[in-house]
Amino acid sequence: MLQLEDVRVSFGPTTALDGVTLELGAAERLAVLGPSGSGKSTLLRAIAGLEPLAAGRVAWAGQDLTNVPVHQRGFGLMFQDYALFPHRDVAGNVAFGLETHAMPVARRKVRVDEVLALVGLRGYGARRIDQLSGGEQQRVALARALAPTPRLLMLDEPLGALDRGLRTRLLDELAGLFAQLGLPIIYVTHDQEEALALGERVAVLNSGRLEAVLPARELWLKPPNEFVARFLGMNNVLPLATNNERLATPWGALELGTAPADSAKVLIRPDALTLSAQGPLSGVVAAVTFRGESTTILVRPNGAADGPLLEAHLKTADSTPPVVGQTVTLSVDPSGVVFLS
Amino acid sequence: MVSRRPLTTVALAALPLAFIGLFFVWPVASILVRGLAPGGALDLSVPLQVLTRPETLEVAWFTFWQAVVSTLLTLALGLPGAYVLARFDFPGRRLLNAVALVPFVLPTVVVGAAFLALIGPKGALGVRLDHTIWAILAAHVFYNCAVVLRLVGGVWAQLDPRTEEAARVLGASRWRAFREVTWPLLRPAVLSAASIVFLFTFTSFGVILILGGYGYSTIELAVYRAAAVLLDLPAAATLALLQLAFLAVLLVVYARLQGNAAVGQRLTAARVTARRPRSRQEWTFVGATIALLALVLGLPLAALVERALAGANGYGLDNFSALFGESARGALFVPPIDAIRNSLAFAAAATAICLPLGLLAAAVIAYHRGRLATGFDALLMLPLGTSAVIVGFGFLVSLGQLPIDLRTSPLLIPIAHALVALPFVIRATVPLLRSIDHRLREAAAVLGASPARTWRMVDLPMVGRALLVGGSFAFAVSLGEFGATLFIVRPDAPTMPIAIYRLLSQPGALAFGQAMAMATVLMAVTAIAALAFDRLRTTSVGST
Repeated sequence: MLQLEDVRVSFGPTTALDGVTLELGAAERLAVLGPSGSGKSTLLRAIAGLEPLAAGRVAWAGQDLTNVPVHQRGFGLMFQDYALFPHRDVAGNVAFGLETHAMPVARRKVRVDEVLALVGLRGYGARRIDQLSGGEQQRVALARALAPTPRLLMLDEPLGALDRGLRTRLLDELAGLFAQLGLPIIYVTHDQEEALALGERVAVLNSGRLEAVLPARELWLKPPNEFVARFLGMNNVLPLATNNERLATPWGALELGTAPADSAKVLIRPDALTLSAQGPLSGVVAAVTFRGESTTILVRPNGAADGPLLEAHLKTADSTPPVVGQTVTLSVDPSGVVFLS
Repeated sequence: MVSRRPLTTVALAALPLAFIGLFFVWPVASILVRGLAPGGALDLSVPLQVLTRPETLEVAWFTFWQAVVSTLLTLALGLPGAYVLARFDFPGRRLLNAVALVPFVLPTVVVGAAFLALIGPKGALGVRLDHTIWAILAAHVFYNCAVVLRLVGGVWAQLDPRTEEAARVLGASRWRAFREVTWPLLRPAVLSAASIVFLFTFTSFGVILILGGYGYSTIELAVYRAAAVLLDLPAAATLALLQLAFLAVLLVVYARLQGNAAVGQRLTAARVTARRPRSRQEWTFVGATIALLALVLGLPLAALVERALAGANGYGLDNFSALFGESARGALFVPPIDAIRNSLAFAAAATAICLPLGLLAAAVIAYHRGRLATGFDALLMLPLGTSAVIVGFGFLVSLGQLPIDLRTSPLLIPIAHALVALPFVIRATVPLLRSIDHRLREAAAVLGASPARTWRMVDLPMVGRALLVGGSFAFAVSLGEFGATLFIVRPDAPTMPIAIYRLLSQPGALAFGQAMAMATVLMAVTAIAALAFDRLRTTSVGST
């Protein structure tokens, strides 16, 4: 439904979005993941019509939106920190979008109650905004965006300001709600867990450029390039010297499959490494961090006190973790060796 | 840290209260008595007779409508200006922000002189508009624009622009989003600014005296003319009462409006809300607004400096060196340079009186909350809401009854100036005292500082700053004070504003040149003091 073609946005000399091309299906949920300053919010603002495009176009069902002003686009946007109207109560906030669409008062009231019930705030209509907790404000912002039944819902870091416990709970709630709504959704976040949980596809932004747009599972299992791999927390990236099938690493030689022609690097997924007697890799444990379900160990090559660190995530149930200074040998699950472009 | 025991509070509050009582409450009460009970018993025949004179009604009506029109014009220029300064980022924005403050801190006599330099008989434009309503309105807009720019612009800059954007995304047009979201949030600030501008223009004195000629008079000016020119004290007292009654009504209306308009809003602090203009339309709007502001605020000041430098033999410093000679045609009994010396001496004395009183009062207000402290605060603000002319007139009618006749004392002018400056000094220093974060004291204590050391390391730097800010404020107010001084000044010891006024009322190029030169000096001194103060106030130390 939504098409972005080579969208460019610049603020004076700096380029915030640099040639973003993207398409969104009729009821598709897309998560946009990226570090702060990567242009995530700008992307949503450009789609909403709040930032003028320096080049490219935004279209809906084939219709170019360039000359359609913000208020006639019919998109919903939930702002980071919510931007609720402080001079209106909860019902007044939710009703705003209905008033601008000239919905009669009686139907407006019904719709406000309906949407408040949907986000779990039944009976909150007369509350003042400054009496609400962070989580409640987040729900009001969501209800306000949903009330006029937008044809596209965009959310900018909706859980960013909340504490961890609340986030986890709301994450599950949002996933359920999104499935129920059946509208196209763009969800912006810097948190990979949120992106993977809520996006059917995940787009990764880096300095205004799209690094990848892939189904969530595929992105996680086969990150396409070094930036995505590192942003997802996988740091065992090694250069691929020549296209031979045997890679000499500081921890020992590793048998690879045939590398695709365009690959320049290889990633060894930390969860593909397991302790085993035969190797092929070995080294000295430099650090051990217990993380509950897994234990992270960092391994230096033998005899290199300041050598690189290989990161392995060992499942807690599988083995007793080593101690610092111990020499270990590790085997590699071939499916966890990923060629990067 | 100041103790919260009631006895200490009373001791701290005693001096400021005595000062206000003796030099403000009593003089004003004397005016009341003189106006309403001239023979000792209540007698309304004189007030009624004065109030029903056609010229009184005319003055009251003029005072009212010129204040309304001045306020509307100031808003018409100030609101777009506030919007541009708050929401847009452009080269020279900080400079414009600072310079826009200058007209507001100028003494009214300098404002009058600047407009004479522009549109007076010897004006730079060559068009005579003095003794017209246009000169008065233009001077009022020039003088008060900064109030709107500061008050409204300050709030506007802190309103989260995304609130308006949220309304846009929800289907509101640009205009509707402004009307339904931005305006309700901005309204209290606009009301405050409009009320303050109305108050200032309603009590306008120096500007109208200098630019209006005998054709125009506000109540304030009528009080002065009745008391000092016509020597009709009962009429002056009645007019002063009329003024006080108007001001009381204004305060009540203001309080009501504010009560209705208050919205608990979360301001986005320290968030940069200004951005570069983007479209051609935006650049045009921003450019036009800045140009208009620069023209209205800059032209009179430029004209003043130009006229001061223009001598008989082209540009030079002749007018400034003439300040050291005799005054033209005996406008003053002393060389003009003496007025500068007098002003500096009076300002130093006024600062010395005002600063301790102001700090004592500020300490009471800053460290104590509750009804008594609020009442104390309101009482000390009263001189601000009344007017300088009434203060001067009150001195004249009451201080002769003291055992020592203060009316001939050289301290009289510094006392009057201290009284006028006191509300400003308190308002400027209370936030500084309140801004000392008690956690800083706790942190110092935990780090091993004794209470005395804590006071020296944490409180003293702040108090020092408050002293500096309050002192520069008192000094600047004293340098520019005109209305009260005019009543009580001795002819042989004029201050700068008085000297400028007297020189301006003389014909001849020498008097005009001397007036321009002295007004330029006064402008430079007050502008520098104000800009320094602005920097001190905005670069904060510690936090709350």
